Amino acid sequence: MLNIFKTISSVLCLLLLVSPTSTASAKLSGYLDTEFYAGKSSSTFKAHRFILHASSQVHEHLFFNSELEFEYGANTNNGGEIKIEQAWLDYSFSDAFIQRTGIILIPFGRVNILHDSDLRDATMRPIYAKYIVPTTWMDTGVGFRGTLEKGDWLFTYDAYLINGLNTFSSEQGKGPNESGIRKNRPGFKHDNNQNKAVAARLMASPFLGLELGTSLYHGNYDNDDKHSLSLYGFDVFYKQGPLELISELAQVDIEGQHVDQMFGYYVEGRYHLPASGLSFLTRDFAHPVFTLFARYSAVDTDTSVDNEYDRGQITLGINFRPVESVVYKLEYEWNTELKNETDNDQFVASLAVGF
Amino acid sequence: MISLLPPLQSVSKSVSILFCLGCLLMMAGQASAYEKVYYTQEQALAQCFPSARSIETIDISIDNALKQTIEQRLGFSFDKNTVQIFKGYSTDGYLGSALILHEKGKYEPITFMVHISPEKRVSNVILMIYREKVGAEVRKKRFLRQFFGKHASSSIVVDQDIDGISGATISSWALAAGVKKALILSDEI
Repeated sequence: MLNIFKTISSVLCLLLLVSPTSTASAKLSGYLDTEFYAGKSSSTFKAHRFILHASSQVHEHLFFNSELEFEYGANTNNGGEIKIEQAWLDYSFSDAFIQRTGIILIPFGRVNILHDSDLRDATMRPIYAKYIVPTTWMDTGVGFRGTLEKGDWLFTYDAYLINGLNTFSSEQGKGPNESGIRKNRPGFKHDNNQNKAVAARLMASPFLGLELGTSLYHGNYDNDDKHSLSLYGFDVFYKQGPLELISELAQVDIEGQHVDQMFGYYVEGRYHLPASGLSFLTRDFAHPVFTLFARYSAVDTDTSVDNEYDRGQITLGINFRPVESVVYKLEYEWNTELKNETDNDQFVASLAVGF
Repeated sequence: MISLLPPLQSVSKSVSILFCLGCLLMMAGQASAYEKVYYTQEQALAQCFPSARSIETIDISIDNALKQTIEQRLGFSFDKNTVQIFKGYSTDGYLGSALILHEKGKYEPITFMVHISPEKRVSNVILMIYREKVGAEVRKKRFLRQFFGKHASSSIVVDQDIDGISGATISSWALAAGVKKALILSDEI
């Protein structure tokens, strides 16, 4: 428990150091989620995440941002974690050219970037984001990002040089064909090889309501610096009135392992319904909203073997937002597991609060 | 030996808690962490009234009766007691009015100007100051022009006649609410 207070104190000290000058001011924000799970054999509440964002406009052209996560009460002796998910400085030359250095979120697809609980409609991320694109995926490095406009078209790009994913370790317990690449996420102390990885995303939006993205990751993962791991991904977001459709897919190519390819995707539909007619529930909130959502996600963590490493998941749910940053979520998951896994269909409820 | 002092860990914890609370209180009163000025008031007025020979600035008090009427038409609360309206005039006559709104985004107010034509329809929306880390896409013309031509009876609701921006939903709602307020104010005053 002492670690929590030490860490909070350190972050706030840092904020105070950058904040009281005449040119800079610091801001603290974040989110909290509290979850309830009920499966066939167990049920539990979980104090899943308490997140603090500390940011500061150090100068007109220099912007610092960070995200500190306390997971499961930060009880590190009992499954909890304290970790930095982002800590970077943006040096802005123009909207089209911003240089970023630090611990960055890997710009692969949409869900890894927009991972905050109060932004997501479902409590659970798709299984695609667990095994194929290991959300939340962050790394240390340097790169560039920006936004470009041409008429109604809008383009964004992100390109970073980073340490890269770690090796598949025998200590993982499960082989890569069961755990995907989730356990290859890097630490922050040193790279396990000399090769630096690249991660990049390009998004094009021809009109308001349609966004098309493509992402790439490539780098050597092994300690001997001989074998590469690559990810290729595509994502689409479409919005028309209260209807939203979103989908991502990605393929992983791996050298030097008995698993040489993985694949995953999800498709999600959402429909927003105004809740202002239910005055007993919505009080005097300006724009309370219900959202219905349905999602199908599938992953195959070894495409060379038919069906053996295929997982599937159907999620149906509803949520209520009295204001946009507060969301009460209810959902049910039907899961298709691997042969050696137990039935893990479950009911999930949660509250996520952005503050 | 029995120590009269509390354990070191306990002291550290207490000091940390007090320190954290102190820091939070100090930061609570601070200014916005991020602020980008795209248009000053003068620049925004020049965009709204490029042919104006004069711009009249009028301060209007909102009494309780007027506030009630505005809130009834809006469907949500209106918390201003005074409003400043700019009226533009050219050699050919009246060019319409412009209002500056400060609508709360996720954390900070978004400052923008709404130009309303003599026919009481929105003819321009100019985002002047944006203070959030994300969501500045709401300043793009392809979002703002959705408001053009709207009048006081239009819905101006995200997901109905306005498409919100993914990743900037709260800012989209804020702009929509502000434009609706500007139209109703212009209609009632």
